[in-house]
Amino acid sequence: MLHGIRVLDLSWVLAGPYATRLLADLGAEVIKIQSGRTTSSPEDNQSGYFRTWNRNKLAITLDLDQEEARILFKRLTGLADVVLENFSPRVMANWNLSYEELIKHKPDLIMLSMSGFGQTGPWKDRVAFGPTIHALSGMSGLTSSPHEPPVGPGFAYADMVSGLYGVLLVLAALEHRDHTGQGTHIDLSEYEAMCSLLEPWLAQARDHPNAHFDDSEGHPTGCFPVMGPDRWCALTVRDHKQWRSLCLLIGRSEWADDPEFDHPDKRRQRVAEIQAAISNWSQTLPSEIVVEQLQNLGIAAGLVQNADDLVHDPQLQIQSLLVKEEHPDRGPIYVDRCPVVFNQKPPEPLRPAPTLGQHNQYVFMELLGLSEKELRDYIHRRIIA
Amino acid sequence: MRPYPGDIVTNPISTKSLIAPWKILDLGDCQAAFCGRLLADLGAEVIKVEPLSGGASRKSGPFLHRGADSEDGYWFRHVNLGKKSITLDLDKRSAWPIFRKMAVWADVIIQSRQPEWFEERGLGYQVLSRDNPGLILASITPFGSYGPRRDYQATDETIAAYGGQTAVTGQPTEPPRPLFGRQTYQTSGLFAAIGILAALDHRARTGSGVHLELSLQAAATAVLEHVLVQYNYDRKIAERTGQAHWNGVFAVLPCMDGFFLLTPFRNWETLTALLAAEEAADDLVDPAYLDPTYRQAQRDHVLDVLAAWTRTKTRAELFELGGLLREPWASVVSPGEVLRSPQLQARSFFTEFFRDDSNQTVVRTRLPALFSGQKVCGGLEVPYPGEHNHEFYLHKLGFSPAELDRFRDNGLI
Repeated sequence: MLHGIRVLDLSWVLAGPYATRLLADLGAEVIKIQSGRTTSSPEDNQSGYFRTWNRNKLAITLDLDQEEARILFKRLTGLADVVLENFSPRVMANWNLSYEELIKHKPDLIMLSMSGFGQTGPWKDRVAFGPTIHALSGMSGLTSSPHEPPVGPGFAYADMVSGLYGVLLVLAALEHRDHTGQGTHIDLSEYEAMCSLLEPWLAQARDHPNAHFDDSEGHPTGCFPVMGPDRWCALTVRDHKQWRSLCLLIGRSEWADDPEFDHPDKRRQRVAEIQAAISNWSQTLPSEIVVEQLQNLGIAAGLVQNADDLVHDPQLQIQSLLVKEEHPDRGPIYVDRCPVVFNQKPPEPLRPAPTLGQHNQYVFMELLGLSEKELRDYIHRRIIA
Repeated sequence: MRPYPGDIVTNPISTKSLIAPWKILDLGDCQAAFCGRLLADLGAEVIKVEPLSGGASRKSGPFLHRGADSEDGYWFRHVNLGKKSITLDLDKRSAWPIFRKMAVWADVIIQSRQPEWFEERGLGYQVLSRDNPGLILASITPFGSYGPRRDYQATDETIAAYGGQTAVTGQPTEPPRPLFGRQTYQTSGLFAAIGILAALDHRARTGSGVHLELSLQAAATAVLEHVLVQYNYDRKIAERTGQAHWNGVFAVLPCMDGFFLLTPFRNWETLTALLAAEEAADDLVDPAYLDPTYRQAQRDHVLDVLAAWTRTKTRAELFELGGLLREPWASVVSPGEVLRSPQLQARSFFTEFFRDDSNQTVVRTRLPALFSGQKVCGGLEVPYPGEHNHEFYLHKLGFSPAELDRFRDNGLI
């Protein structure tokens, strides 16, 4: 879809590379720039982590600590639509590669700066990983059991959310540029992105500071054990008809018309009993039976799937959303595709993650117009390195 | 003096838009409505198409307490801020030609039913795109439009389960749990909005519309971060680890006024020196601990010693210390504390305004970025059902007042 869009990608680790991977999946030409500063462990081109987040991208090397490398970068900026970086706020300025400097080379440039807390404010220089943001946004405390220490998401969700907002805002800024001729410097805060997705409860906290924060869509809702070690099914009862059907199904018909249970708020008061009753029924049954019987009653229900379940999930397979690739050195690798499907087209083949500097020749000679001698000279002097 | 509806208390909203006022008809249910909110924030004209009495999700709590007959739940507000509303009863045959006219007018239609629902009404994508070749149709459903689970009932709880998020979240000694806050609905809203902007760009260059589809389950699977990486490269099935971080980097420890997230092993010598200075290091200064493998093997003991130290500190003290040490440390906070965050306040993240002429205020957030220093966010209001019927049917679609009366009399709008 995004033909003709060129992105210079200075990002590293996760949130930034996830954003540029999605842009690349959507058809943009993403040129990843690696240097000594970025090729540490998560950015080792051979690692599984790197290979996952950096498919479909081109890669060049530039030692931006050197002035001549920065001059090359500015020349490349003149040929690009977007520059994306997720360094801490001082880094680009220290290199004299701030937005104000880069627009001298591309006046309508879109620059996306992704950081933990934004480019301004008292916390702007604080270090943040995903869990940092989970804790400070309220996500950790809310994703917890009431009587247990706080847990939070079991993966770096905030990083992914920031990446998604990054892509959305870059696309919006590109449209703005096409209509007005103006570029933008986008200062995206991962902290604000995560808080955005908790807005209903932040608004509720403003009105009711001591509220019990609840995101449920009905009651009972939650996970219940099924046959097998650490196997669970999730379900949500959304209305009274479903509640009655559930009671009959699990052998608690006396509850079906009991006024003590006829409203979700009342059922919340009896949550332990209800959970025990459902578990007594479900734990002797295989998950397929539990899900089928509940779905037949119109009750939302599903298997709690782990990674092995996911790669064998027929629903994902049939839609080519999780694709198996055979690698000569690793065996089968399961790749998640961009979940947006356009015109039911079969997905295009994914290009593997690049090796270090793999596209130096294409970018510096074909795009920038360096001669082979110039390229070799820059490499020799470790400017392209 | 009584406040005026829309009067701002803090942080005026911006009138800056990023995108054109694309005409977007939003038929999405509460699972699919967030996409439209995002596009409204960016500057599109998003018109919610509702049944005559308003959508079912208007009636689910918790509610803003603003008058005895107020229906707005906090969730409903969140996913519908900045939209307009019209009503149309698409179960009535005589409404279908009206919808076809709307589909000619629109740039984008967002919907969340299976294709046959529209095809039975002569409103399938094939038909609509013949009338309007540039039309972009976005279908957002729990599992997509084909496959063994396409007709399964779903909630965020079950989507998170099928999508792999629940299996890795929670205490190992408790049942697994999904992320808080109906995240699968919002993640998919982000993916759908991205798809729609990409489709609008494609249309600008080619003139062609597109039918894009999004499965909520696939969107949930697409943000699992390390889970599939570990499966692919370490042949490991990720499990829920409670407060222990999946890579062993973080730990959540109790302190005087709650809980605190810190990184026990990241700067070992600095941390143990600090503890030693307060005579709280126990045996952690033993040179054996300089070996990272030994430290990890002694993890439980290390965390016990650290917890004894953190219990003598407040979250604020530890947070300040984390800043000085350049560590990714964080206080575990409640939603009320987030509202008071100095960082969010410094960047004017929240706008507080009067909703009506009572003294009640509401809070909304802007988009989570500044654009060359400026903020962008959509409108302050959530419409009541059919609030914009007059404006839409008369002025945008060109029906006459007599026709509008007839529609009302026939229960169409």
